[in-house]
Amino acid sequence: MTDDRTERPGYVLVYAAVVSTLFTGCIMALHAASRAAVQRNEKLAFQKAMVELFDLGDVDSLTARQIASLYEKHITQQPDVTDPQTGQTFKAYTAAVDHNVRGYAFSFTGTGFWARIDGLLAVSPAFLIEDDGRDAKILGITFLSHQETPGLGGRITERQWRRKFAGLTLTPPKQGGQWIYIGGETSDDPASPRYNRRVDAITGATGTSNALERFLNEQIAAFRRAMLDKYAFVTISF
Amino acid sequence: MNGLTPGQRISARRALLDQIWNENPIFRQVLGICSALAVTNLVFNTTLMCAGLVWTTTMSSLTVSLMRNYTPQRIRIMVQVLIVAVYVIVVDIVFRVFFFETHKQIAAYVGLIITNCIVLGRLEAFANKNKPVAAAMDGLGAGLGYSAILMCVAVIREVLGFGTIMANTAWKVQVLPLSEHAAWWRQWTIMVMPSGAFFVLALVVWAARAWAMNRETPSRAQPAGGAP
Repeated sequence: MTDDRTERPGYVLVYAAVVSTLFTGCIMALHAASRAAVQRNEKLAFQKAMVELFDLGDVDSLTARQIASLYEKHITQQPDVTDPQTGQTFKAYTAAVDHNVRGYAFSFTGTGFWARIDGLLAVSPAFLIEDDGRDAKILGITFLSHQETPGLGGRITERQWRRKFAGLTLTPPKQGGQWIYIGGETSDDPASPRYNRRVDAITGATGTSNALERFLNEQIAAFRRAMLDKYAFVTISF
Repeated sequence: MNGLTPGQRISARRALLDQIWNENPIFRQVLGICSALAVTNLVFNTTLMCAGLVWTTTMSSLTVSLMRNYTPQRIRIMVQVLIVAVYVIVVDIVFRVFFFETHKQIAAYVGLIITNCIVLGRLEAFANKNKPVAAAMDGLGAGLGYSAILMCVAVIREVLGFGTIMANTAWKVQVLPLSEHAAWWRQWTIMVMPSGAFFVLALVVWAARAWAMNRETPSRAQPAGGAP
């Protein structure tokens, strides 16, 4: 066991300094050694999300290299755009297949039930036609990070739920309407503001569903304003 | 602790087995139930969390024991927390590299292993006073004892809550049908929520204690050699 020498102030100070330096050094070394692998994972997760978002391939059966290749070939990151009304900045991406624009994606962020949710929403090219955006559709949605309850709000990442967004109408809503609805009543009447704009809420995660509906509506509108502000006098084709 | 008199040594085997059953952190000592409630709605998440805790309890007990004769008593808690933090950060980095998707879901709870009462409790109660092998076995036992109970809770919660075992992995097994595909079965949403963990944990602890008491009562009931 310890003796009196180990209780002397000088020994305590030196011991604390040595132990702290040693262990901190080990962690720094491990962190540095793993940095490349972590960055590779983050990059792959992002590329995988993009490939899935624009339906460029079956991400479950593709290798990491194939996913990277598809991303490099079809996706282009555009300069960031800023909404003149709110000042919010969005990262914007374009997907093109055989020289035809398949759609645009933008990064969204908002506060979920517990904490911040980050993701990407892909829209069809018609979304940026300035008059009324006829035929504009959602192509897909994906979530890059969140802190929602696993099994409840955390189910926003499940493919089965995310797929329900694909094909929803994304024309500017009528007065009093919303771009999209998460939960609430359904409507088969084409005259209804909810017609083909609604997905089911997640059972047991009303807080997450409501938060998502609120900030997605805000940011879809903000992204459209930002893009039209930046590209108002040019033809958008990549 | 361990029914020992002060200064009495304990074997590595007994240290291991005591922590798994006789002094199980969850159902005997009711320690570390915060994370037990938080991560047990999916078996795979629970498995990773348990692996992280087993690693942390074992390695931090071993390290504290190796350093016990050189660590000043007045700063021992600080040193113990530092050691635990280092091993937890190792777990976090390994998960980030090899289980990136799951890490995103349980990262907050992995960090909380640092403050898990089981880890610091075993360091202070045992590793700080015993030899390295026995200390490592004690830490391993505490981790395994914790894991055994958590896995039971996780299996019950995932099966009743989602109808699956090992969801979100390649080894997913659909044990019960989804509610939309079967008229006779509704998934128990409460099992997915933290409140469901309270019920299941209480039932598992009750079952384990009842079984333990049944096993232990006959031996305790033996005549004590003529005592009045």
